Amino acid sequence: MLPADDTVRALREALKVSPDNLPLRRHLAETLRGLGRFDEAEKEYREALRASPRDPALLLALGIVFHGAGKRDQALVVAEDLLSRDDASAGAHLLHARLLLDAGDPARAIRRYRQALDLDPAAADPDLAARLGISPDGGADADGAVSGGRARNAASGEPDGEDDARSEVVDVERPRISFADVGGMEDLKEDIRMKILHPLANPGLFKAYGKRIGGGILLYGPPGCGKTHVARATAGEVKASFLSIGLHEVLDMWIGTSEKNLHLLFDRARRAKPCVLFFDEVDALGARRSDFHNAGGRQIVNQFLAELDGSVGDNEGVLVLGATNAPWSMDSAFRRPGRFDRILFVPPPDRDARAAILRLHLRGKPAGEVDFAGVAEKTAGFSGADLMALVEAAVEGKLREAMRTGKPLPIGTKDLLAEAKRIRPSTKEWFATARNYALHANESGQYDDILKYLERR
Amino acid sequence: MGERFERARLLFGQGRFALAEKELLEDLADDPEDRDALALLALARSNLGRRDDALGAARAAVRAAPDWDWAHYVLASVLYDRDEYAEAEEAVGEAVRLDPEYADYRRLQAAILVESGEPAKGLAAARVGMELDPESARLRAIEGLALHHLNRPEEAAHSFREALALDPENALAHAGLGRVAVRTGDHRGAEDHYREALRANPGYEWARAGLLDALRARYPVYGLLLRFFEWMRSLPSGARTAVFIGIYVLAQVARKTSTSASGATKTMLQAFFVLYGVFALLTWAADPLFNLLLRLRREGRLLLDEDETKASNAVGALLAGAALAGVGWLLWRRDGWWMAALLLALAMPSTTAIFALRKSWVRTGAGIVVAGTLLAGLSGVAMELASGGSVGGTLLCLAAIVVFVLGTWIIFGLGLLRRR
Ligand SMILES: Nc1ncnc2c1ncn2[C@@H]1O[C@H](COP(=O)(O)OP(=O)(O)O)[C@@H](O)[C@H]1O
Repeated sequence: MLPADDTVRALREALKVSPDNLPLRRHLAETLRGLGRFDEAEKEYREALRASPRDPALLLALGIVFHGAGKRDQALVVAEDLLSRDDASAGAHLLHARLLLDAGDPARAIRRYRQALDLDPAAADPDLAARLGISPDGGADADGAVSGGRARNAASGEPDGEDDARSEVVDVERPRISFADVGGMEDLKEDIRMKILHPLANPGLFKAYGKRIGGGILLYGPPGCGKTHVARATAGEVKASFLSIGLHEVLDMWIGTSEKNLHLLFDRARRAKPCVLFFDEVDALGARRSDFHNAGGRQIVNQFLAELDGSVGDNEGVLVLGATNAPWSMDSAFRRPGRFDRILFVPPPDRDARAAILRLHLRGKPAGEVDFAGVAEKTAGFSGADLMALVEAAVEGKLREAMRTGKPLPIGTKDLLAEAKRIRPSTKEWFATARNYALHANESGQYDDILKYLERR
Repeated sequence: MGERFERARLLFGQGRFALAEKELLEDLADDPEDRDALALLALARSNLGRRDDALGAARAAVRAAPDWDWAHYVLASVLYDRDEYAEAEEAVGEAVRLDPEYADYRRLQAAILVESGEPAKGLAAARVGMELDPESARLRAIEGLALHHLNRPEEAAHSFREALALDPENALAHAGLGRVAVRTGDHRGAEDHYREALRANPGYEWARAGLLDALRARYPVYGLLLRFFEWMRSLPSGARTAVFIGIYVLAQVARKTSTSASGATKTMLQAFFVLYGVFALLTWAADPLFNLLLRLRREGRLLLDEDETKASNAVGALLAGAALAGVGWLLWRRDGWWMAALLLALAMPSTTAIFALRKSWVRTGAGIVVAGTLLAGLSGVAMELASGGSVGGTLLCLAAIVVFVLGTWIIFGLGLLRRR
């Protein structure tokens, strides 16, 4: 990773080459801001604003820089300008709250803070809240006596002062499903048993053979083919708790540039151990550098990697699983030893898996005799999600028929086969893309599994 | 720009175009005139392959902000994506007018001009851009492409190499070097360049097609064919027409003489006709036929897409049928057999063309016509063979042959299907 100064220098170089690249300039400004080099950051924001003068995100950033540099009056002008707009953001309210507090008006500051939270609960700022003498979620005091009724720490039930409101948006689960509920996929299960479960159960043995424990496991494959399902079942299999972070939460981190939340998340998993910490669509977190559009991004990536390889906390008993449909758009830093150094391909369900999935989804529905193997035979390339949609469609069709004829009939093989003809398997498109990467950018054979799968078809 | 737009921008940057579109539409529900949202929406849809929707959004962005250079740029790139070059040129011209200093607008301008068959103007635009931004690898690569289209391969290669010095991952420059290598007949070299291009950008269709060309050129016959295409391409268009007319005149003269010629000359001329026919067929159906050979290798199998595989199956079946019918003629000397052979062979170019069309009702319709014609022709053959000289059968088969010949001329002669 680049030391901060190198980053700044590299960005400046890049800007010299393309001075009109707004995202790049934004990136530089935000980096400078993060480093506390407010005067330089101010210059870059002003430059960026010349290109896009009414951009509220830029204006807000400029206001924050002013505030950081102690230029209160200027910051106030910006904040009031922003608040005069109909679409004033939570960030603008927060900035104003800070300025009001500095100006000795805590009552109005608290009001502003709460307005910010109304707009976006994720905007909670524990430090500011503490200075205002309220709890981060806007409640009356800092002791957590009034905490907005949000379920705190669902897993352990223990009250937790340091946890901030945001990391609790995600609940800790206790999955009831295990490998028995994952249809087919015997190879994958065996892989997970060998590479994950046994090391977790016999750490001593694996250490003796010089095998590392820790780091994470990356599951990749077409969407809807059970990555999340398998991750959850893995937790259930070892009776661990399960913490699942989705695209939505990751994006929030990017927008708020809140690497702190990431730390809180990992800490939460560490306290709930044994725990499977699952990042869905993890590529959103670790997009390749060239894909960066947001300044704080690097900080988040760095924080994530530091958490993952255990350099900022003890990960014993925590298993980090990541899932992605686009492993090729992940920064290669993610693949280094001690990070996501084990990568497993989750293929579309094979015939047995398809039969099992169909059976699973028809459970509890009015079904007659169904030839599951027969339907599975005719649904090659269907993802688990496609099969679910197929069953749903068949149920709906029967329902409509029952309304018309007044005679409810059970779902049969024929209905499922009819739907199978109508639904296009969704994994084809994924393989069209994946094939290109596997063929042409298959460094060190990382996508050999894709090629193997394509050839077997 | 609100948080939702920020979210959309992140999603767009991560290649999650469908999700980005969703956020943007929500954004636009609040403010239908939001120019940033409209422009990004157009780009997202373009990336999703929804060209009509993309155009709608791009036009809306221009309407919302007629003085905004970026909106015109987005409109131009959407139009470029749709192969609507005249309008694209106009739109990018507007972006350039509004911000003459922005090099990237010149790059798109150059690319559009080159694609629309005006490489000289494209070269000029690229060079203006290079003055504005001397370090841009992409501009230099476009310069190379323009030079390639101007039949200046050495200079083109020089530009591509310079582009790669600036950015070793520039896929266009790698593929451009591949293209130049094909031009100069260095098919092995082309293979390496195309592989590099694909490594840098695995989804790069032009490079994949080029790599396939280079791989097929490992078979000497295809290599020769490729050289012929390149030679034809290097001629000015007037000379190209002259070559076609020349071959036609030559064939007419040969036919006249063959009727009056004696034994040996006659056989030679007949052999010439057969060879000429095979050559003409090959120029149209070579790709699927050699793809059949490529499929013997693992890489070839994986490299070909579904349509290419299907096309090679179909054309291969036609060729096999034609060969069998030819054998039938040699054995039994009945007219029906050579008619069948001719019919099946002449169906090959049209069949190739169908699989090269984009999936649409046009393709479905053309497929039905080809299949119907083939069926009609074959039933004519069957009648002929069954009755031993049915006039109706002969006529039916000949009509089918005429349809295929006309079809081939219409499709390829009018350039409806440009060979890449
Ligand atoms: N092997 C399987 N057995 C049972 N259900 C499955 C299986 N694979 C997929 N599914 C079902 O398909 C749906 C989509 O799977 P999911 O795990 O969300 O896919 P992904 O995370 O790969 O996008 C889920 O409802 C899941 O229950």
